[in-house]
Amino acid sequence: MKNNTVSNPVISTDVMRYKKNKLAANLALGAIACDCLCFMFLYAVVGTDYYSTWAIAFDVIFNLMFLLLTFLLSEQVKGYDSKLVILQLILGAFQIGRIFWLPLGGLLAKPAAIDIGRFLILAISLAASGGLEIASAVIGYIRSKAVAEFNKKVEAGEIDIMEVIRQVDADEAAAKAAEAENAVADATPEVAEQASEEVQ
Amino acid sequence: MPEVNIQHLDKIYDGGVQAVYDFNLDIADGEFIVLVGPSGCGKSTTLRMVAGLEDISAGTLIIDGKDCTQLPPKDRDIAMVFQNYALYGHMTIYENMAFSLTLRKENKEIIHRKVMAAAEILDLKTQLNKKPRQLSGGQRQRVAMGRAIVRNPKVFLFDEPLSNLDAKLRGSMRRELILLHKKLNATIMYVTHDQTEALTLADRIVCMSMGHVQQIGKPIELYEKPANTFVATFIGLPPMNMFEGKIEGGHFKCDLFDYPLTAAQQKELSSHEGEGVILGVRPENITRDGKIELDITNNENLGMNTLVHGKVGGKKLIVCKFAEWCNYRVGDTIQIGFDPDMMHFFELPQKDEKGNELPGKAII
Repeated sequence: MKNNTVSNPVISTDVMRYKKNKLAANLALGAIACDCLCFMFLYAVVGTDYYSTWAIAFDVIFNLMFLLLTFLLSEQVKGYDSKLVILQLILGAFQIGRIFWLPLGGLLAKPAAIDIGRFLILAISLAASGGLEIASAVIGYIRSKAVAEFNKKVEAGEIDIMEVIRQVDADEAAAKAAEAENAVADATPEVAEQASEEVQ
Repeated sequence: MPEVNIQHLDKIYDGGVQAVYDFNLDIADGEFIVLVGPSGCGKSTTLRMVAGLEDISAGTLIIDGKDCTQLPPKDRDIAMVFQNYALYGHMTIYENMAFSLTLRKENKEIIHRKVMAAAEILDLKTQLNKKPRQLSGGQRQRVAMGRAIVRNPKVFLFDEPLSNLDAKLRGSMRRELILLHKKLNATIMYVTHDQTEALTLADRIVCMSMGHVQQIGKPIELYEKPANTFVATFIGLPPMNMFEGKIEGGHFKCDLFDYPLTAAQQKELSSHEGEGVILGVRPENITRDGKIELDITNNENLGMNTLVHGKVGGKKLIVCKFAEWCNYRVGDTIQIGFDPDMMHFFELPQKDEKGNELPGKAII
């Protein structure tokens, strides 16, 4: 088994019980990175007339809240905890919604506060940030439910993980034995031929 | 073919200090070998040479038919368990056990199967999500063993793994190690300075002193037929009592007492008539029906037996082990003798060319 996949569904779920949900956590951290990219490009044009002090102040506060909450949520999903999945989804939706506030408003303002290139960077980074946040929430939820259900089954005695592992080991050993047998069977005519030549 | 074949192994450090002299040992597949000796005798150095953590100055190391003398540790297919556990504090027990396989980029499913199998053997299944600091010393040592087991190595090396544990835990871990060895049927090299561990765990013991192998044999052989005075005094608790004297006219004579020898002993010692020898008697082979006077200096009741310390001839301090509860008082005098079948005779210590004292060899 060279690749890094887990073919047995029971074992793949059992692995999750001992490993952190790094995928969901990393997606949330990706959302933070995209948000940082967004505010770096937005705050570079703060001096223009369209962006009032109040609007930027509110945006800064939202960004700070987003960074803090998303970091805490990334730690939570890492441990297969889906209690605050709704908050994560709301944060993701807000990020996407923000495209239509300062970036789009700045583009459509007379005179325009940002050019189309900057708008695209801001829109893509906010969409990516929101998308990653939502993906983190969805994956975190699915995995945490799977682990919770698996734990229930293990506790109820419906699944004996050691029995499954023993069965997989036995199947693998049987497959190897069959493979070896086939190899011997394939080799037999040649060996027989070689042997007969030696005899002659 | 032996699993491990060690031939003429020497270790000489840069300063010219020699730690191991001409170490030879063949370890069979599934054998439990214990290297025992006092601190500084070269047992850990020998193990580290087998592990590849120390360069081999001279000699050959063959593991499963493959010359490993110059191979780096990772290519020797061995696993070592250290005294201080060497666990990663920031990783969970599962991650610690899986670490070596993860480094090898092994498949996740195979890693999981191996870790779970090892955790079941070591009764660690409920601890897998904890960090090492949350476990007791014994559990941490089991994790260290688990980390070795998952690698499925050809040879397990243990460097004083129980030394950090308290006496009670050490006892239970000893029993677990015996069970583990039976389950895995693994080839094990185990270093300890604790003779109890050596006697209870080993299929064969290698007793070392000053870098030299003193005796290799089954625990009972080292106990009942020590090859020299070093092994005789090192193996056994309390240690063997030694008396220096002479063989004269069918008697062992020393300045403390004159002890008659049996016909069989006289025959075997006939070639040493008039020569100096050392008589060794284990505390449990001292009887209370002889003619030697013992002035008691201490009486230690241990429940199952009693250790009685005293002086023979007012000079030589010895210890006797009687298999019952005794209530001697300091200053009491008793008569003692020796079990004739369990008396050991050794040659007097010799000096080598460097002036080091060599232990006296066993005569009978």
